Amino acid sequence: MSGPKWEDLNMDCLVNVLTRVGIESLLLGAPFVCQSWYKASLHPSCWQIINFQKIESGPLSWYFYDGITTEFIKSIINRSRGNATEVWLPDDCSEEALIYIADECPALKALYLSDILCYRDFMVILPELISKWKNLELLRLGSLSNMEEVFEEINCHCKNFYWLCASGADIERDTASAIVTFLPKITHLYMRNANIDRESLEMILQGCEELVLLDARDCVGYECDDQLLKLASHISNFQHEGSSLFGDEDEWGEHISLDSFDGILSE
Amino acid sequence: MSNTSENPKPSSSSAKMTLKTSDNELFEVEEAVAMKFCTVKQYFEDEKDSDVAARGSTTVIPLPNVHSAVLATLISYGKKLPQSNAVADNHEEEETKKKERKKYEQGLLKNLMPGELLDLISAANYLDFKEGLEFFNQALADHIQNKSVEYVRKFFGIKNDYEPHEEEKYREEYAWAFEGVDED
Repeated sequence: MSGPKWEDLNMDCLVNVLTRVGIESLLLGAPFVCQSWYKASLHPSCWQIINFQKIESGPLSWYFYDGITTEFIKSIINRSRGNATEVWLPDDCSEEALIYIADECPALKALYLSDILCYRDFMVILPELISKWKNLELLRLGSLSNMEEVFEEINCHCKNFYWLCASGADIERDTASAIVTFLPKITHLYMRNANIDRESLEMILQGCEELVLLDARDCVGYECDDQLLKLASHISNFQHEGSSLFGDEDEWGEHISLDSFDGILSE
Repeated sequence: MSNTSENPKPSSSSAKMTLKTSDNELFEVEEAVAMKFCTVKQYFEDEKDSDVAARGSTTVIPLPNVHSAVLATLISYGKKLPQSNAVADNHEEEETKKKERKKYEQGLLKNLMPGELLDLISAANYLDFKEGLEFFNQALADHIQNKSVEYVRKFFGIKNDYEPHEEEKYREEYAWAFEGVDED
């Protein structure tokens, strides 16, 4: 047999392969191989999962040392042609870009918002945008001033929602109450390194009866004991290691487990 | 027409089909495995609609686009997949089979020439062999993921059809990233 005949690898197969190579290759590799590979890299299937976080770190960040512009975010979102199912916003996201993503990603199932992004003032608009993501199933967010409103909107509009990650966040009484009131059927809750007191945790344990996984490791504000374990007995995977009442001052600022989000969504 | 069929209906686990490759080799394959090739399944079902009794139980299905070496690998891979008609294993057996399959997959990829991978993908695509396509597409993606553009061109035998100044412009300005409108 003669050498590899890539012309036999039709466009469908090439696109299928490119959907698996990751955003760095899609932006820095494939487009430069030749013009038809560039074209293949633009196929909407390659852009169902859009991870801007990977652009801010890694080799791509060299091209964006001035920050990721709204125009760039829009051009990438456009490539998905409305089929994006998973978006990781950059820390650098603008209000305009966030609104654009709400308008142009009606099929969105998973949304990742970093801690840094959640500190930005304009993020108060997030609750208003939830109604555009009716297919939302998974959400990762940091501390937001109006988290309770976000949950309320999810309850209203997102009938398939089941997965919440608020690692490192401040889970106060109101927040815990909102989780129980608005997300009672949630099955996966990640709040590693969160600040949460015992009463709030108990509220969640008692109110969220469908929990399959609760990651409450390394939290500050509660200590696990038999009584808590009993309340959590319906949860097949309850993690509480490292949680303490007062925390360790030296550990302040360490942590954030991106891994919980990453691993789940790549399935 | 009489009610009784000429041959008792064979159980699906022992029924075999014959596939004929582009180089005229014949492969006898268990029906359960062959049915994973949806193109074959379609052909088989189309044939069944016509007069099967007259045809007998040996049907030779031609695969003019698939070479014997390639088909052999795809059949081998197909056999290692969980069979839909198999008796359900207990958890331990399932785990063992999974491990075996992983080992087999790794061995398969290690010995694969680049050209063979492309042939396997083309064939799996033609046969509409979903699991095979998934596996080999992933293998190809893993292979090219961290490679340079030059390597990829060489691997696929692709000619660079960018003008040198075009490519340079793109690399410097990253201009294409800011296109508002994509060509259709």
